[in-house]
Amino acid sequence: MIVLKLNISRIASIPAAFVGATIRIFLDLALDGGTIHNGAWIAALLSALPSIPYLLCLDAVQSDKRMAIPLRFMLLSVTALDAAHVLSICVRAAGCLTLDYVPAHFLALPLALAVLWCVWRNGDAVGYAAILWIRVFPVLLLLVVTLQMRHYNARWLLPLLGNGFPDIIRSGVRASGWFIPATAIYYVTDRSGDKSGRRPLSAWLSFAPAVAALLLILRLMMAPAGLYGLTWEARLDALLTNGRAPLYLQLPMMLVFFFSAFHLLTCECFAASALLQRLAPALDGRLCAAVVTVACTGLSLSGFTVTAVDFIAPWLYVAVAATAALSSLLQGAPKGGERPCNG
Amino acid sequence: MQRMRLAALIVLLALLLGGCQDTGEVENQAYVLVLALDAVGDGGLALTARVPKIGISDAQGDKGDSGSSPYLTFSVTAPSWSAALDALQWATPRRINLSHIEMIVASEALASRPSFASLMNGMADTPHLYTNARFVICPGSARSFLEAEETVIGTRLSSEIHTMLSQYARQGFIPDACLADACYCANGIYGDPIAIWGDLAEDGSEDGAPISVTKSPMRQRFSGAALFRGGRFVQALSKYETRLLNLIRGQCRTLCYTWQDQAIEFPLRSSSRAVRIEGSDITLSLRLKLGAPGGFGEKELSTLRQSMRNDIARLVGDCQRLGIDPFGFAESASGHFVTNAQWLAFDWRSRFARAPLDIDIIIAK
Repeated sequence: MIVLKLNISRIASIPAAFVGATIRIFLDLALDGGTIHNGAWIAALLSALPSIPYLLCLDAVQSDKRMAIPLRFMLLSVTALDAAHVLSICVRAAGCLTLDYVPAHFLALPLALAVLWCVWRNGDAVGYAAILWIRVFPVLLLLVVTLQMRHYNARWLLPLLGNGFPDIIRSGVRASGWFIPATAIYYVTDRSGDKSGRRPLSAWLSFAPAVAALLLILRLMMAPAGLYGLTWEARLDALLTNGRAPLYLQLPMMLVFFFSAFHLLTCECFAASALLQRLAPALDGRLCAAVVTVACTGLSLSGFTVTAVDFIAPWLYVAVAATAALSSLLQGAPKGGERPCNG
Repeated sequence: MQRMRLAALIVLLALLLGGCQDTGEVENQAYVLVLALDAVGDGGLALTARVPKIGISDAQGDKGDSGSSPYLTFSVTAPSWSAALDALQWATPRRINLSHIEMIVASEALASRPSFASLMNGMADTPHLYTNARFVICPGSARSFLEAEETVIGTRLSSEIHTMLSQYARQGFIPDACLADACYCANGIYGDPIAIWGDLAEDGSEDGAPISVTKSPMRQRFSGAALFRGGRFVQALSKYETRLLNLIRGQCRTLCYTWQDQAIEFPLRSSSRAVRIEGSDITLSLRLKLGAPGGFGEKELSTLRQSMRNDIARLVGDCQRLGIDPFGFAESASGHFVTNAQWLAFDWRSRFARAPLDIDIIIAK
């Protein structure tokens, strides 16, 4: 018997997708994509351009019921893999801050349990948490900026294009690929009670790269972009403490980082769990959530995700475009988006 | 029932938290306050760490008796940074914790090695090492410099070091330099790193200096800046030159300038550096706006301005001869280029070395 049907209302899914996309683009360009360069914020802005067709197709998708099984499976795989990767980011970040060496599973398990509990509360809990975070985030960010004000140096944004346009385009396309796992939550939205005249999802999500670009500008002004490869931990240190923040000033930075990463993790785990339930409707939502969370935790502890994400990241946008195109083809023409039928 | 489940989940979460393990206790940590690095043999490294004993303050400890001293000193030698850290873990009866370091001291001999940049990177990449620690270069042995460190006015060495170096930096005697900044400059594209210059001195007059400290309970003297070329120490600046360096960098609020045996204070209103690039020729431009001190006429101020201009030109000229840009002119120049590749191809260092300097000092009443 199905006790829990994993679902999320449209009003809750849009902020969740917005926060998820913003944080994912930022994490990719600031941490995962290798040494950050001056043009990273332009790459974040440019990532909006290739994403537009995908976002328009998201608007056109009226229901996930007609989405082909291979597409659902592809979405589920990418989203679960990225959730595992985000979990490993959280674990590595927590490991950098502990007093002593702590085995990774000790850091991963509490996070996994917290995520599981959030997913069991269903989609609206995840979505409304994003609404709250959208309100709290600017306050904490303002606090961080105020505390770090004297360390910011606008000249470190120059030369403007950093490693040049080819690198910016490469980074931008790579970043745009992360829209698929970060916005997967929208595919499982319950749109039965939708009313006409609502602003489409693309309009909201097109702001996500701009917010990510703003965050990257702040990061680039805190510590200059290096020309040589530093370790992931050194990049994280530059992000959280800029290498110069006194210990007592690090707390707001860490709150911003951890809450944002945790929110992204919850969104992706929820989306993957809901997609799994769509693929296997006989399964209960709680079981789907448990399966996805355990799988993500296992993947993140295996160390496989870093290699896998590095491998798929440059090609992810192709998968995004293919998914969007196939979704549109399967559903036929958009027919004016989400207007209700008057007949 | 649901509340019981929630409570059980929270208890389970708490049990799994890493902080609940006994390995994370504060008492089990050996918090390093000062780290000293010396050159040993051909490429070797001596690492000395000063660690406070937990529960004993300086007031309680008898400084004459090492058995009751509030601090412990551990020293190891190894062929590399990572091996030295490993040896230090072995030498110390608690887990070494580098997250509260206040000062990192390197000897001049070590900092002059070509491999020093990679050593700095190794330090910056070390997990938990607090890269905001003040970065000091000293002549002679860094270990001796570390062992001369003691609390003079305060009760804790950590707050003593922090307060003392902040005070010196505010006065302009030393640059406000930390390990992270030195690493960023050594690896980045915006000029050369600088560090604090420290020395050990005995009571009495400094050699030929018109102004000197003749008696102090402190043997350490922090006055001056250590200049690097890339990631390698090249030369030290005196405390007078360091004040001018801080003025050019815009990192002091007040310039205390010695002129005709008088110390005159000028509040700094603004400091701006610019670089004009015309073809392959560049011109450095420096514009300083200072507040006028009281009791000086226009003629005296004009003479003062000329004296200050000469001193600044001499300092910048010396650095140009060494091919070092600690002033931040490179930051301004890089803005003329669109990509890093174009900027690096411009070969800033050699052009900077022969660039004319245009100094504009305004002393406004």
